[in-house]
Amino acid sequence: MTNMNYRTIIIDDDKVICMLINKLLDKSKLSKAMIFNQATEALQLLIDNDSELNHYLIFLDINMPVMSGWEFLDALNDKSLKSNIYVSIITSSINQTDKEKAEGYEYIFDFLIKPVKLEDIESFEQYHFLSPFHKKD
Amino acid sequence: MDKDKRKYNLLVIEDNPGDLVLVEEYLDEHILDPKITNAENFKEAKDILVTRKQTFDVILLDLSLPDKNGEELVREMLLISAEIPIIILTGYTDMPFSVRSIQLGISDYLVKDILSPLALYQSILHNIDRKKFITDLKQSKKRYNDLFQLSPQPMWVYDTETLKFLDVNESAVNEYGYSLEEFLEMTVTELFPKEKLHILLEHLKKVQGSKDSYRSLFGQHQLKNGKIIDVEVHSKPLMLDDKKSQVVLANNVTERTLYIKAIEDQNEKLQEIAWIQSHIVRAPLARLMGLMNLIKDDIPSFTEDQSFYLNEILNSANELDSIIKEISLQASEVKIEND
Repeated sequence: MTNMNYRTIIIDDDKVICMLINKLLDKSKLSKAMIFNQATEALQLLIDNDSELNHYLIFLDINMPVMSGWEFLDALNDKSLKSNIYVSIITSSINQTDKEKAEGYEYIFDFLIKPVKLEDIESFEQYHFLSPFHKKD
Repeated sequence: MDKDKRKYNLLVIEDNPGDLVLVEEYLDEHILDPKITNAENFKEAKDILVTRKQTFDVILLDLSLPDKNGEELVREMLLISAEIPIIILTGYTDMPFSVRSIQLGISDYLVKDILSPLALYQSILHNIDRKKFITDLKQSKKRYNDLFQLSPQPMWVYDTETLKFLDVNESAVNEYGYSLEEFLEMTVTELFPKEKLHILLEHLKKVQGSKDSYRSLFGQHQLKNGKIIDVEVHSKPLMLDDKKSQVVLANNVTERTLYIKAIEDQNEKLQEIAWIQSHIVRAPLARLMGLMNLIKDDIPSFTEDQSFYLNEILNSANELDSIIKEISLQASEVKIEND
């Protein structure tokens, strides 16, 4: 099993949030992430690099212009990609309906409310499928 | 046989004293205490009935009076007898005329020569009952007709086969602007705006085979002046003059619908505010709090004053966050349960 690829991605139009999360990732066991301020660009990357060898851990904001987090998830469903995709929502929304809606998508494994804290990232250790995303020493 | 103890108040119009005595004897046979008033001619009878306004259970009328007789007498008597049943007592057997007088409205036609006490008693009894029954029926019919005609809500009856209006009440005329004559030339489909006609047709199709006799429909009607109203229509099957029909009650709910719409719009705005609270207002705050958290990690290198300022800023941010959460929660609780 060679050539497995693990990549962490942040999709959020708020550049400060992206920077903050990357700072937290830096302090955690997880590797730093690629940043996309537009969901369409992230989607294009996933489509262009679609392979069952590829694994993506995605931090996804909901409320974004052009393509929202929901639209991004719908697009993922439509494409039925071969890559292994794990998505955690990161949102400033405290609206319960958003959380319920997120639970309806298969890629979602967590739902974080901003501000994301170091404890939130550290709690990812409970998900065994995320361990390959850890930093190489 | 016991005599009938009920009170009978009779007007006997008879000019022949012998016949009058005979009638009185016959009546006494079966009635305990008949109250008999005698009029010897038409003029006297008219005086009793019209001028003195006396009323009776039954009138016994001889066909040949000194001042009037035959069909003329019958016609005049019917005019002044109001609802009192009239039984003709005559010496002549005249079949065509007996039929004719019954058609005119006389209750019974008895020939004196073959009359018996029992036959007279039975005729009186039956005709009082029958008259009473017919009067009751007329009143009942009037009562139900009034309920329809005077209903404050528009009502109509239409033929289930042809969908033509068979009857329409005053409220319908006032509400829809069509006259009764115009209504009777129309079918119920013409009340529906063209683009909504499918609602009615689907409804009619659906209920055709249905056993449930009560039907209701929410839709729109168009008035004669073109204005569209929202209506709630209730209907039930009815046999009107041997025609299969439906009686319909139409409730104008336009204002109610507008009112509900206004509330729904308002609620939608409230939901929108809740959403803005949740997403938009909280976004910069979350950013602020995230940044503060990062700075806080560096606190050991701060002076005492600096860490105090920082903590106070953080406390304020947290306070603001709980306020936003509270507002958002309250606004989302207003959501209407859709079943």
